[in-house]
Amino acid sequence: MSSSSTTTTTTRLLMLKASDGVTFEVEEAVATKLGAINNMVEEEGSEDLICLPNVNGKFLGMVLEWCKKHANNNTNSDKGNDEVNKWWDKEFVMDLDQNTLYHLLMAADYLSGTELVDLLTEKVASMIRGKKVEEIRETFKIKSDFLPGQEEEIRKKNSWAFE
Amino acid sequence: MARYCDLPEEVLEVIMSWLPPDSLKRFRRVCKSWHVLINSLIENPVFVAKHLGNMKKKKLSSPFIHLRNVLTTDYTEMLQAHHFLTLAHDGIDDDYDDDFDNNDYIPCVTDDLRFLVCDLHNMFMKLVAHCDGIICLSAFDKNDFFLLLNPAIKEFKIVPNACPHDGHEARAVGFGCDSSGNDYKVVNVKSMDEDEDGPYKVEVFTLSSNSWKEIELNEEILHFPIVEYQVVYCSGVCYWYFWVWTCTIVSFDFGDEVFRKIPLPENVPRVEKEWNLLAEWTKIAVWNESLVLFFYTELRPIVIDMWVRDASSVGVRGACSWTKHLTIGPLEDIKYPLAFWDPDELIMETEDGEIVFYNLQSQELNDHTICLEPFNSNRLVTYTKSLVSVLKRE
Repeated sequence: MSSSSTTTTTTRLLMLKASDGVTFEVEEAVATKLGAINNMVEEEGSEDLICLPNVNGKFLGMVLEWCKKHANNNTNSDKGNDEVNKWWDKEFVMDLDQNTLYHLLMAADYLSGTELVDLLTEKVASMIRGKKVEEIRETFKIKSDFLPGQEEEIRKKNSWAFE
Repeated sequence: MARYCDLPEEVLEVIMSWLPPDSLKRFRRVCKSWHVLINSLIENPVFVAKHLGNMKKKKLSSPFIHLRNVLTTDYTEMLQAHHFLTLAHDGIDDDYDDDFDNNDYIPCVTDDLRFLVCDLHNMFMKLVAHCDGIICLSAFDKNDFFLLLNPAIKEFKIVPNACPHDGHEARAVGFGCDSSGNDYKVVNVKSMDEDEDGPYKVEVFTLSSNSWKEIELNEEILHFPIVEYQVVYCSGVCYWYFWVWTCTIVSFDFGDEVFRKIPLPENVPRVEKEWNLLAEWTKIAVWNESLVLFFYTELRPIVIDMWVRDASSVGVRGACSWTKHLTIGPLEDIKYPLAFWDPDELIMETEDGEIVFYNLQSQELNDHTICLEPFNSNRLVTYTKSLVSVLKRE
């Protein structure tokens, strides 16, 4: 057996330290799926310990789990790869409760994990689409700041525009 | 605790790019900042394009139906947009709300469109084709009259008349998107002679320039017979299916503005004997961004052969392959296939005019049915709602 060319490059390990002190040792190829970490690696060069004061260990762990899956699945250029990723993504977001989803989304956004943000926002959207205005306010903890009648005005402003 | 209101605006924007237009419009009433944000997003071409991409992706990758409506037309009722949003379907939440009793989101918006059309000289309109949420209608008895509308954002546009207005008879009309130029076009093939085949005059309307131009008909041998035809749009190309003496498929690529003749599949057992008879027993459709032909006969219970055109051969002249994908049936009480709801679900009409769903995987009719009253037209399409404007284009 000859060693394949893809494994000859030495995989560098990075240490990621979450806000609560929990550390994760991850391959560079995995961590750099996150834009923010990719930037840090490129800009700061040899720094092996990266502190992430805005993300706690629980959610950083989940984000990295997602990165790992996608990094692994992307290395073998199978045609069914896309399907595997899709299936795995579906599983990943399936049972997320609102609280976890929120913190994951904040973490993914902070770490510039664009693909993960896409996945999580789609999940949020699937939870709120079709909902009533009141329900949205409830979910997002938003108070209406419209003056009396304003909301009704927006509702009524729904006629056809044409030229 | 989760405080979704603290989400950064850029994240909120991505969430909104996954919401169907109805929800987006409704959520403008959540608070002032959402009102401002959503109003600016739906005016923003970058967001509109991303949103459209997401709506299409959703359709291809999941059985969810929130994003789609079914439109029907029939001769007397003109266009009816049926919002299939109350349909019971596995794992789906309904996209209707308190607007439901407020005439905004009534399941059938016939009245709105009828109002539009009556307002416009009382013409009978028919559905030409749709693309990216924009629907193109043409008048039955007036060759140069076209409407483009996006019901999701309630916009419509009367396409200006071709100039000079010549009154020649329309033989084939199509609508679609030139994806490279990010532009929408109407193509109108007219015959200079009412009774004969050709010579033809081809005019193309471009939405961005808001004007018509005449183009050369590249293919001498093409015929656009005086018959009813079926037309579908798929991935930058529209296809007309004519049936008279022989069946012909002609395509028009909105990018290079070239017509092509598409060979039919060979060795279709049901076809060989009676082309004439077969004409009525053929349907053209779109499935997974590929052209599909359904062949069946008048024999009941119905048996339908589904042929799929290899998408990779699109645009390559002559080189085109068809594969028989599936034989559907025999099915009792089915009149004909209509359109694909999603890649796995085929909508069919029963002999009683009911709409039923056939699952390609399980090869069975689903339990759920839906009544569209009155439904006596065999023209039904599924479409993706979008925020693409027909009015403001630079």
